[in-house]
Amino acid sequence: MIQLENISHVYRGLLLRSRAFASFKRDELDIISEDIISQYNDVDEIFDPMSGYGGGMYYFARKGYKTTNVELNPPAYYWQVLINPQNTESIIKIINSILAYRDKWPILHEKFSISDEIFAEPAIKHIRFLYEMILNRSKKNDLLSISILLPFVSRFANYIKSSTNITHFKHGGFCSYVGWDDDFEEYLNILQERLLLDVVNFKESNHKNILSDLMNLDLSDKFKFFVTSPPYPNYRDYSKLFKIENWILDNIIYSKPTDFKYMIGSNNVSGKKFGDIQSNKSNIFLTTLLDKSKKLTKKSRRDIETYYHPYFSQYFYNLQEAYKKLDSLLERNAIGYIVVNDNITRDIIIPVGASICDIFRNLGFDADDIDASQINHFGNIGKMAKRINSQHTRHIIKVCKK
Amino acid sequence: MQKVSKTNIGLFVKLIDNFGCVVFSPFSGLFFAIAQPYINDVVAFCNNKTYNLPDHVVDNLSIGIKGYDKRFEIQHWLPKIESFSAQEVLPEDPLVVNWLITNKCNFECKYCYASDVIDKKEFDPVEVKEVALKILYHEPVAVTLSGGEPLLEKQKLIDAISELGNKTGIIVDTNGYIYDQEIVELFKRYNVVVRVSLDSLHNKINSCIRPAKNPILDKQVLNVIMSNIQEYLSNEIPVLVHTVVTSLNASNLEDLYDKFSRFGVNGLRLFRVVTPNNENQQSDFKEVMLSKSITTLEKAQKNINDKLKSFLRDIKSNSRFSLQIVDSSSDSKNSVILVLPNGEFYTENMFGNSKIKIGNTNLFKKVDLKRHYMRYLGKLDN
Repeated sequence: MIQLENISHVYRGLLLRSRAFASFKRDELDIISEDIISQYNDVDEIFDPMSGYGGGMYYFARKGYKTTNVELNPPAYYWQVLINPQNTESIIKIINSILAYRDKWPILHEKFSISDEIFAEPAIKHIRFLYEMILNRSKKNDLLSISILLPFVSRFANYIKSSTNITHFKHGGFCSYVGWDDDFEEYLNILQERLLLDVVNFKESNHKNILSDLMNLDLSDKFKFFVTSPPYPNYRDYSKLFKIENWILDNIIYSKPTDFKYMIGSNNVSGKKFGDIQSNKSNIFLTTLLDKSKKLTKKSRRDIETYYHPYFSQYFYNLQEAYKKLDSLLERNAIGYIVVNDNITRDIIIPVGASICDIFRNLGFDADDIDASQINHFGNIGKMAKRINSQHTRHIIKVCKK
Repeated sequence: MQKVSKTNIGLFVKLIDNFGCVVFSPFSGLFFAIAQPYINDVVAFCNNKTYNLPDHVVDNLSIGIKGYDKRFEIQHWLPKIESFSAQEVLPEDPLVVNWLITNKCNFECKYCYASDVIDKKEFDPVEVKEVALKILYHEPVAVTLSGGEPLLEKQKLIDAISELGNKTGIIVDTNGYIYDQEIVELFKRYNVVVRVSLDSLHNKINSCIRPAKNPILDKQVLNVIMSNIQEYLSNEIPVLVHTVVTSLNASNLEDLYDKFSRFGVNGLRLFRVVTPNNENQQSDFKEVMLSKSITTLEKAQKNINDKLKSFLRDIKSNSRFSLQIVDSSSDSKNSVILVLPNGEFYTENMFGNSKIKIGNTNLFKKVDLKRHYMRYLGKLDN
């Protein structure tokens, strides 16, 4: 039976575990976990400074480690809050309370809307009511209320779903509100089921989720171990993946919109600056890219000069600065693991793994691959599509602070 | 004679010698083929008598009937093809006759396949009752009333439905813009299925493919059509949506499927667009097929095929929302039997210049019989 047809497909994938979005894969964490267990017996807590959907927290909680997780993108952060085992009991209570009072749910009189915007007036009003209702059921716990509400808000959005592109969808269009309450009930039941199944497998429930740009993070604690995976340079604006949810946060929940301009790997190039890139590997790649552009058509050359070269320069610079900041949050002799893929652009390998090793070595760390393997990325356009550009090298890099 | 009858539970059943029977459900708008061994029990089931049928036969025939809300994959061809004793012997009468009761239209669709008759040709006035009798003579299991826009000629539509009602299944093909409560009462009385042509749930895209003749209306078209669909559904009239797949909407098939099914529409029929052979229509057609990245019609058709394939890989028809891909053809032999506004029988041929007139007695000689049955029952060879 098809479930959660009416939830945006990122959340659907996360809830039904049918797809891991921008997260660790289990085998990657198995390799890291084996290394940690075989070499260190003083591991208590694991830090992830770019923690996405909390895949690391989910894995290491089952292994019995505490975690601290920092994430810049609010919808990803709220998903972490939702699956954090220390919140499970409270969330289950709130869900049960919402379900028990179904007859008190706000009523949406309109059957549909057509709009040029993401949300039409009836939906905005209704989401406000729904949020108030969850807030009341949660005894004014806004963090958990937002986390419960957010995966469901796309149910009320006016947009055209595309089967071929998950980050770019067309605003506006038709939204049917018919049966939203049945869908909400289905969503709550599946969420509850998932949390109850997970909670019995968690050996450690002490996990922190922090909504912040790593660059602005101010923590008194320092960390001995970290496991992380940076955003990849695939010209994707990760904030657009959650445009619908971010709209709700910015317009209904928060008083001030989130600024995603400086998100690493964001495809937003214009108006952004970058400084000195210290990694040799990154610089060789950037030079090779410019050299290649000279042999291409005028249009391709212009594309590389005005978009791709600045894009990759920003990417490597931002990564370098982020890891400098990470260094300041680490204890002496800290150990870290970074999972990363090398993409390909214009038939040139983007040396993300080698550049990260460079960055850490420049910071005085030892840095080396403990695992490297060829993987195929399945394209969005066709699940069976395997193009040359879909072949990547995956690196698991281990860094040791001296 | 192969008889069509309306059964007690409201399904139309046509018994066909050496074949079995064909059922049209006015509750779902679906057609089913039933093998010979099951005929008596199917007729008994349809007339509220004791029957002995496999569950899946009952399930399929019950789709859309009030109180029957199971969810399963639809089988149009019931049961499996192996059960048919004389599969190669197809019946000689049409399953469906498409009656273009008017050539007036309030829209100017870029790919219109009836452009040779729409608003151009004057037809001699005709007695609706006489044409209805001519059609009923062939015992179709359903008649589609279309045009043009049939609701533009209210009296003709009322007369046609009143003549055909209860004698055969009735489907009305409309662009959905006009809603008339008197007509709706008639639809309810005779269990009419409404099929609405709509190509996008984004107003701008839909109006680009299917512009209204009065451009001032374009801004409100989608709103009006969806409100009307909602009214039909709240009157318990089954609604199927017809969408012609062009370059402009080929990436949004999942969206259409998702939103129409969520809205309570009974099904979606997707038509592969056919390139017109009429020179006058080429530039209009290119507007909905070509873009910066799609520079030829061949590339556009290939792109549409790829999108349909990928869509079908992920999406399946089910009892709460039926999905059908209808292959169009530009062959001179075709699968559709048309009755023009003057009551003459033709077989459809795309874009006007070669619609083929067919006589009453040799109806199928110029019609591809196999394709005709495939069009309504699904594939015959799987």
